[in-house]
Amino acid sequence: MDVGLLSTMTFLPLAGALLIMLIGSNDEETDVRNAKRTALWTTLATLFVSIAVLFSFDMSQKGFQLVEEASWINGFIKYRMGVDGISLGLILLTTVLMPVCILMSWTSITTRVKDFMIAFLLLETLVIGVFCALDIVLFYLLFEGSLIPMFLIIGVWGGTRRIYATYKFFLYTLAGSVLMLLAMIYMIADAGSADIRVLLQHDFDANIQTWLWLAFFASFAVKMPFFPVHTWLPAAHVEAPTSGSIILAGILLKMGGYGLLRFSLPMFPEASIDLAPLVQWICVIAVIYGSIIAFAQDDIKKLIAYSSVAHMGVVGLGLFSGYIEGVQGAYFLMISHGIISGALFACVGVIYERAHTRDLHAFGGVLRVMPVFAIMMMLFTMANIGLPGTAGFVGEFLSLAGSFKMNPNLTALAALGMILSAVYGLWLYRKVVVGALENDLVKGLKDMNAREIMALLPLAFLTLLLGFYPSLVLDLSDVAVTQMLEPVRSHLVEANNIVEVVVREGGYNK
Amino acid sequence: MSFDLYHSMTLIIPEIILCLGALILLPLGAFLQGPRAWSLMGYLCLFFFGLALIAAMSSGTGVGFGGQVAVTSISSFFRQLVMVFGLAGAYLIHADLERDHDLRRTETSVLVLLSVCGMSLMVSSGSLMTLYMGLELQSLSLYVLAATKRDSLKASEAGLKYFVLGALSSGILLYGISFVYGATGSFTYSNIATVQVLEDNMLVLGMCLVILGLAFKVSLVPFHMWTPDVYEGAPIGVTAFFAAAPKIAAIGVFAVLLREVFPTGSEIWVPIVGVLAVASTWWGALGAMRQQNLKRILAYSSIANMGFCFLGFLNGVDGSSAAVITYAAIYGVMTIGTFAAISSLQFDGRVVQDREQLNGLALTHPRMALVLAILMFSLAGIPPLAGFFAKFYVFMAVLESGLIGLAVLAILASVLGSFYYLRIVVGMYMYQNDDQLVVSQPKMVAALGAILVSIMAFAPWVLFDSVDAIAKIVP
Repeated sequence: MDVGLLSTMTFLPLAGALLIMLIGSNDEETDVRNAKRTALWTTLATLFVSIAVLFSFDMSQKGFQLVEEASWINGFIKYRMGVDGISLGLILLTTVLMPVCILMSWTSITTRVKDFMIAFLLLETLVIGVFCALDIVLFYLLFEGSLIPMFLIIGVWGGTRRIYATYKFFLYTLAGSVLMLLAMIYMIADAGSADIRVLLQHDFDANIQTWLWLAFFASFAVKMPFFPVHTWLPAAHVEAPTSGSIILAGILLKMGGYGLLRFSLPMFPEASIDLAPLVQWICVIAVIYGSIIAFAQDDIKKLIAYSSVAHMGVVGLGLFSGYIEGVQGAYFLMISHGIISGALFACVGVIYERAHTRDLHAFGGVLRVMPVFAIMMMLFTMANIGLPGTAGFVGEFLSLAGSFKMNPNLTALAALGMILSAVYGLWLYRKVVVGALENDLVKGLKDMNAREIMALLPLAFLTLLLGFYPSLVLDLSDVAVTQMLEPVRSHLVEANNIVEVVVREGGYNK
Repeated sequence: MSFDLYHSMTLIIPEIILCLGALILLPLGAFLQGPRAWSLMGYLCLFFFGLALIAAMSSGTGVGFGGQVAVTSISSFFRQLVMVFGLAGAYLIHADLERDHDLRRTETSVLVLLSVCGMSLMVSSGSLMTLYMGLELQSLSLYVLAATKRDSLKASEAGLKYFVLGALSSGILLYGISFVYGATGSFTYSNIATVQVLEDNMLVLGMCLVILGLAFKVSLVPFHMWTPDVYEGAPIGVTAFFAAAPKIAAIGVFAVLLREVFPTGSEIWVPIVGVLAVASTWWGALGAMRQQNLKRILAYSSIANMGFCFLGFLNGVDGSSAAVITYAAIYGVMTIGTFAAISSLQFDGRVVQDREQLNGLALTHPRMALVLAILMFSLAGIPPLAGFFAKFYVFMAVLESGLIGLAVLAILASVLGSFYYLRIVVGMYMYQNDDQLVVSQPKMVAALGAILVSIMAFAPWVLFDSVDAIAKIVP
């Protein structure tokens, strides 16, 4: 069996984890240093391989590429890997964020460093695997498997209420996912294959579709998270260590959106159309409610967590708009939110490591003592608000544009949330960074060091790059998104009995 | 009744080896003197298990003794499983003797051999008479084993409870067998299978009583009451032995009885088994939550696991037993591994009792904590560990039958159940404890179990292909 590029990329972090586990010396300090370095180099190597994958990927081609297949459970459940534009973007997001996470935990993790690095690399393997999997059972296996390292990361290295948070995280997600497992088993029996490519072509009975859709939605809605099953997220974010929060907001949440885009929309198009109003209402509530709650927070991490809830609401609106630009926007927003919220959590980590508090009111005037930090923080806060010129703008705009075509009134409400995001975003920035330097705690803070700048610079660069040149992501996902949305589009056209307008005309492109 | 004696004997070579082993060890134990006599007996016992396992693996299939013994591909596989887990259990008992002077009795090895001989006979039985004999041989040996720590009140209570309730269930089983005999005029499986169950109320009653009598042995709710008490009272090695081999033997008997003896009664037994199974998954999950004692937690865990395993029967007569077989095999590995892990951890010279004693284990013994954590996640059914594959296969079988409501109920129970497994992991990794635990043998068995459940994801076809092959050759 040849080991393909995708398998190499997926299992490279696992190999790194095993290496860390096996190497050991009597001197604990050397041990810790070796573990950190191995982890960093492994994630960088994985990043390198993922870039190699990008170069061997043909964006204009339909369907999955770099496909690998090997025998696994039985005749119809096999080890199948492959990527299309949608998964590749998320894989790159993962491989970019992972070295950042390792760098951000360089000094903030002081206990059981070796175990931490092992858990992180294990998580990377599982997450990359989720996006590569072309077999629905393999997908589920990795999707669920990622709970274990995250459970430990929050529970072992988290804050004071970490145990409550980690239980909540685990049990919420598990409860959502098991129903999806039943639906998957049903689908395998119905279609006679666990191959995602086959399932994408399979027509499921319209009545069954609703149930299957609901089962999948139970899982992905918890993961996203959508209102009202979002309550695990603030708890998990607040308690998780910095890099845990980065990975949670940056990547794990995206698995929910990925699932909706990969399974719910193309496999159950009729149910998706029927239930789209439900999702839209949930999302609009999430946008407004999440923004208002974010404004009420004193804890910076909690504020960003609720802002994630609001942003995921926008992603949901875009995904279920039924228009290509809406879905493309949602996808773009997933990527940009991964970068921006990850960077914001990293920023919070930077000041938390220095001041040991995340209380908004404990700061003020940080600008005077930490100018570099203030610049970074400003960039990411503005991007989070959705300022044009940053990556945050493009996704939100396209999502809402798509959603507007479907339901203008609801979208108008959701757009209100955009204003609210500026309210809490600017408030956060004002409270923490600007203002008079009165607090002794703040006076003693040191600016970001080279390591932290190194970790955040790539994210800052990407935020601006994607803001000015969004086609980088949009072109990558264009073919795949069009393909995934095809069933929904054709049902919509059928239902409305209208002539299909070339959607891309006047859309985001050209 | 005429039959080929030579051929018949070759079918039961594993049982003969175990029986001979017991007969050799019994006088040997009486005459052997010296402080290490129990140890020598233990090793001899393991040796006979090894021989019997080899015999079971090389044994052919067929019908012998005029239908009294019937070795099919399924029963042959279960016989091997029983031997493997009997061997593992015997090793754990031996490790137990190493620690506890009160347990060092030479008859333990004899009883272990005899009980596994009984189990083996159960799964390779071809008639209800043989089944009953095998069942009684194993049960009587197990009653004594439960109370092997004679000076302990709890052990005596365990033995007595097990005996009284076990005798009751044997009575029910025997009563059922008599009805079946009355209705069909035969004990042999092949004859009973030709009768239409649903046309004869007496046979229906007999079948139900047989199922309920046997449900006691696998501790399905509501026949589970003995389990937590017996698990808690018996020494941990014996508990580990109880949790694996006898349960697997009983599952094997069910696989033969339900699909080959009463195939025509599936309309009746499917709902019965379904209700018992789902009730077990819920009761096991809810019961374990309130427990502090590790053995009691594992007792409820085994109740829940048996529930999941029996869901695999719901695909009816036409479905394959692959799910049940897979579940039994994986359950055995996880259970033996977990018990080995716990029995290798001691505090103050005694095996850990309370789940809170495991707190902080990851700091003091990171490897042991990792082993136990892997086993716990596997028991909770979290992928990519083996426990997930077991549950996955079972739920495939349930959905095949179209019982979606039952599947949803059971899978929610598995979420609920994951909580108490997680609680142990949380304790080990996220709490601190000043108590210094000591790690000893049989930690290697635990490590082996953890390795087996974690590498399953990389080569699942090894198990699934063979199980599918076995399940498909059903006559």
